[in-house]
Amino acid sequence: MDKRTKAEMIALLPRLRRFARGLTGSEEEADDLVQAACERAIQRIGQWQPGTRLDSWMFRIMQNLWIDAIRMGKLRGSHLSVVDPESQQAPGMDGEQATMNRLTLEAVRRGVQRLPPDQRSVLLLVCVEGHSYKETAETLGIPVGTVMSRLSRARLALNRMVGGPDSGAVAAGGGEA
Amino acid sequence: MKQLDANTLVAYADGELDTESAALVEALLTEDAEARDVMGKLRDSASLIRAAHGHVLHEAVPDRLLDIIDAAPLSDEAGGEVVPRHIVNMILDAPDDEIEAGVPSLVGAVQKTEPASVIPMGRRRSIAAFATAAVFAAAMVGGGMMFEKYSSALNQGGMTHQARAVTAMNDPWREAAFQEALETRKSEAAVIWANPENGRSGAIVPVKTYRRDDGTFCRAFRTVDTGAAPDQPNYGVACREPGEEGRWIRTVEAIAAPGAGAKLQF
Repeated sequence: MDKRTKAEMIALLPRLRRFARGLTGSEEEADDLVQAACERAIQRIGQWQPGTRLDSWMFRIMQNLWIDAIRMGKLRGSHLSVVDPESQQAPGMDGEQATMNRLTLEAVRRGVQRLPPDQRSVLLLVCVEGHSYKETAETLGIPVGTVMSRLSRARLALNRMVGGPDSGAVAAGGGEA
Repeated sequence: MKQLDANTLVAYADGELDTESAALVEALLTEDAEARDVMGKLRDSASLIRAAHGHVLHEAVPDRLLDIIDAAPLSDEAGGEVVPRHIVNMILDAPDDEIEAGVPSLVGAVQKTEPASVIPMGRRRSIAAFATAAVFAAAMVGGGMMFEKYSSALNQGGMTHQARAVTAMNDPWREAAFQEALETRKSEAAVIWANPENGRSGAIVPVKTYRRDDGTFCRAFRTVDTGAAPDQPNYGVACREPGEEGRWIRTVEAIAAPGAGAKLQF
């Protein structure tokens, strides 16, 4: 690994942590996942093609490690996120509004954690990381059509969970595309 | 709402539809209140999902993660630092008198016939990576290469910065680091030196090793010097010439000249 790749990897850490947090819903598990992904990436850096996106490659490594861990029973695959409420409070916001926002965001995070793993990773890559459908398909090694179907099921399920009257009670179903 | 499937609506909300399909969705949205409602929720939820995870970006990254990447071994492969072989060959194959004359023809040949052979700034990784101190920035110039005879840069004299360059380049600490770097360091591993007597410092980085046809080992190297004059060579090739007691002798040194688009990566 050359120095520039090293620096790029370090610069990616916040985003890797965000993706991992969205996947696992737990700070500790997320950082363990980031650590494992970095170790694997360093070990296999020869497989990365310079000139292609390092972030997509590392997201893919992380996603694979995460799915493996779930399959091996090392992770539950679902967590209720614990987030410091203070960090959610925008300055100058009155208390009531801040509380509502916090509750909404908390509900969204809980909803994301209820999604099936396959839908969750697609949702996070597209909606949080801002990747295109095509980039997401390449990162995850799945067809674009599968990205679309997983994403729409995730989004509609999330809308029901967060916005619907039975918010919090609905578990997201979902088979595979 | 029934005419279009959920995938299409979601893709429209994400701006992923082509013009034709998007027009279909827009036609539906104008006439169907339920579709508009769903679209609004889809867009809101996308922002919410993003907002719900944004705080992680502002957290301090745990040291254990930084340490892992920090400790990763650096590759010996020269990567982007490789001196194009044909340039090296041109230097080495040039008759001695041409080199003695300051290689003007070589400069012309490189610039006229091989415009693509310049080493782009973005590839000059190892230098950029360790040149964290601002004083090193002065040496980080240019995308274009211009070859200039080592001794001619030293002998022109007269101007202050050139006089300073002479002394800096003759610095015994620098020379010791130079020999050490070429003899003992793998490619891209820097020897950083500092002369406590005059405060000068710098680094020598071998970037590529090869064997000349006669079997002599040669290495391309880069140098960084604090307070370097703009015309001070920062790049070159040295060979462990027979009959020099194992010392590395500079075959040629060159200046990376200022060029368009030059930009520090770090």
